[in-house]
Amino acid sequence: MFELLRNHRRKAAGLILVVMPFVLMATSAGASIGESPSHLPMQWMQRGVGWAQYGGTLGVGGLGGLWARITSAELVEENRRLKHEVARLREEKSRLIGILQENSRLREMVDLQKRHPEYELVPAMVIGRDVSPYFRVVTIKIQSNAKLKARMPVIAAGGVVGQIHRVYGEFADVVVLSDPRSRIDAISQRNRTQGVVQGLGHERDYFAKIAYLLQKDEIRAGDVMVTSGMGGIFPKELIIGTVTEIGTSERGLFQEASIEPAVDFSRLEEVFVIMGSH
Amino acid sequence: MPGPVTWLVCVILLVAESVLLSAFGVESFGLQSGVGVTIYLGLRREFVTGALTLAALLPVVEWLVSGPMGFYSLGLVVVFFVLRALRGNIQKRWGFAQMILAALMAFLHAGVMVIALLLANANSAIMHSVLWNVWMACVLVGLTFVPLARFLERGDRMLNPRSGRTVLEVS
Repeated sequence: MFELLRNHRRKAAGLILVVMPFVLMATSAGASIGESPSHLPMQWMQRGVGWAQYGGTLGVGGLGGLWARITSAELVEENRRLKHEVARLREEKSRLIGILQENSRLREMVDLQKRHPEYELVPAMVIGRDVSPYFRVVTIKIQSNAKLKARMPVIAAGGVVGQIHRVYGEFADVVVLSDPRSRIDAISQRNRTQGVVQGLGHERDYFAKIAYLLQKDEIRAGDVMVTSGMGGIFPKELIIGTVTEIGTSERGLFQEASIEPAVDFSRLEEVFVIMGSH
Repeated sequence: MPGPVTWLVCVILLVAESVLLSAFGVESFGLQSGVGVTIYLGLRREFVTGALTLAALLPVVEWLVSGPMGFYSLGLVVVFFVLRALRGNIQKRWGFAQMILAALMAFLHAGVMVIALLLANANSAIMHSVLWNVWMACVLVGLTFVPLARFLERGDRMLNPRSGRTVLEVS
């Protein structure tokens, strides 16, 4: 057997390479969201990657501080003392701003928990993003021992973030609502017009569209869209975003609208996973 | 670099890219180091080592891409085989020509993804997203490939100073 492999190692290596993508395709959920947990060895490897991302995220934060120290050491000699003082005060100010921002984010999150006492919320930290421009996925690490499952909803203080796609231990990949695979049943807060918020994966990075809006439904720019509760994944009345533009389609049964998500996904640091309701 | 070391370095590069994208919050600027690494393996590795290293990298790339599994990898495999077929006609120095080559390979990669999605899992939204972002992807892969390749080549030289050199040693 080994002799055979040794003699045909080029063919064997080529075959392994060709077969690998098809194995990955066959063992996944395809284009739908929510994958069943992989086998234990795979889970351990995925967790290893997750820990590396977590370490990297902490490291990038540390590097920021190091950079500030290096630049302050390059000051001109005669102004050294004053510039040093200014740098120290600046650093202190930026640290204070950071603390205030973190404080306000945490306040918002506490408020969120107060606003929705009915949900069991688990906090999580954003530690990575997908490495291709075609999808919109963030990797999170939960801060507790809670057991995550695929398709659990994820929210932030501003509103809906997305839903869990894949879980590996304390890490999970969250498909953001602007990912092209994402579909969320939505309703207008003003007049209960119903539609489906679909991710685009392009157009100003995080925008989405509302599809299946009936031609007779009246929708305007500025309308706030919330989750309808249909579909059984997201609870009712969570803010998705604001309508920015209405498509002027002359034909067809439906009209389309663009929506700007309520959450700024480019600055996402902390999120909540809705584990269930009390 | 031996295969396992190359694999480890590539995984570190991919994770670093994911962390940096997260820190700056820009997803459409994904540098696609997976494509860059595949081009490097296709051009600078012997077939068996390159193929096995890439095969071991594919699951990690898929986890970090988080798209529908298999389609991104299929694109990388096609890029690898195309480069194996063309490598005799491609100049060795990392320069402008290699940037153009990398951009073309990013385009080919996206094309293979779209065709595979069309055949196996037709989802117009995903295909729309791929086609919309492919131009930026080509530019970014083109710009980042040469530094990435030089970094990997430096790693090769550190572990094997004679790697890539064709001049015979004076005895």
